[in-house]
Amino acid sequence: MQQATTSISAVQIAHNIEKRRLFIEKPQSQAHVTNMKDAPIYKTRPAVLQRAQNQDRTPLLKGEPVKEVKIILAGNVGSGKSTAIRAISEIPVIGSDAKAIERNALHNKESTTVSIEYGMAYLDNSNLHIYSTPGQRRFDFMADVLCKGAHGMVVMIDNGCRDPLNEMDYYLHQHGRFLQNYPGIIAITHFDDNNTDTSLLDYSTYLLKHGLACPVVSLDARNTLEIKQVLMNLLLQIGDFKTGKKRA
Amino acid sequence: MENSVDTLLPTLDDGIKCSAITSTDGLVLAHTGSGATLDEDFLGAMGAALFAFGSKSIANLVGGKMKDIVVEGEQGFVKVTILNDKLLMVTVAEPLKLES
Repeated sequence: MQQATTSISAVQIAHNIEKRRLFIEKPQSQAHVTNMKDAPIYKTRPAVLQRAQNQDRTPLLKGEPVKEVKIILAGNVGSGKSTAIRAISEIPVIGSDAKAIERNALHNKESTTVSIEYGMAYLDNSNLHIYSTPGQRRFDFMADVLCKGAHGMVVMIDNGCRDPLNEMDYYLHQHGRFLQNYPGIIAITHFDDNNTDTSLLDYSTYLLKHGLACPVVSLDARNTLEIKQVLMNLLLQIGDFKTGKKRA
Repeated sequence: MENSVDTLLPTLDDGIKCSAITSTDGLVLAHTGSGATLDEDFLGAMGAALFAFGSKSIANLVGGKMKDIVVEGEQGFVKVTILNDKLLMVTVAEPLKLES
């Protein structure tokens, strides 16, 4: 198994965890959770949820300019990147699908992304420009092209694939430098049809062990509201990253 | 079967560095000339990505179907030829040398 970069110091890890805890709260104890498989480790705070649900397009402060934010969706084949971008985009998604030839290796999908997919959404006084990368590993060079100038990343992992932790490790290794310098969220999908016993806690433990304190959330890629919550969390991290201010 | 696909590929002596026959989603079926310097999977993926961008641009800006793509660089060309609706041929060639 490939090792994610471990050069980050313990102090920095602690700082990152503290910083991220401001937006997403951890349950006090894990004891009350009976079924670990669907136990959400991180809960989105009600205030954040409210901002994600807000459809109003008037800025909170008068005259505040609309921010332009570039977000990358990365992740393995069949994790729902294209579904997510189609669910949230307010414009017709620009992208290129090709007929899948190796359907067995691609979760019996009809088509697969080969270059990029682009969608746009408005959330919390920001125009989100969302770019989705292809999941097949031979297209990894596209992700390097897309990451230039990006503000944040959502790594989506299919929990139903053969070795999800290994898949996550691969993407963290690939985007390790980006995720150490810019905000990122790990979104685990396909929780309803999973064949593995991997829980969110496993992912979180694995991440901490390898020195990255990205929040881990479960996500239904078909659910617009859930994607908005994830993006809202990312936006708040990005805002904090840009201004250097701590949010209460 | 593989031999018959191989015969479609151009020979390497005419200034052609490497070539591959690939599906529209980047799966390489046959290739010549790639080696330590160039990975055939990368060649196939590049071809498929170029094809995706090209066909989208033609469909949206000009209309109709795309015929082929030529990308010219200082040290050579990349050409993507469409064989049918599932197969592409990617060819990497050296720059033209004009005989005086």
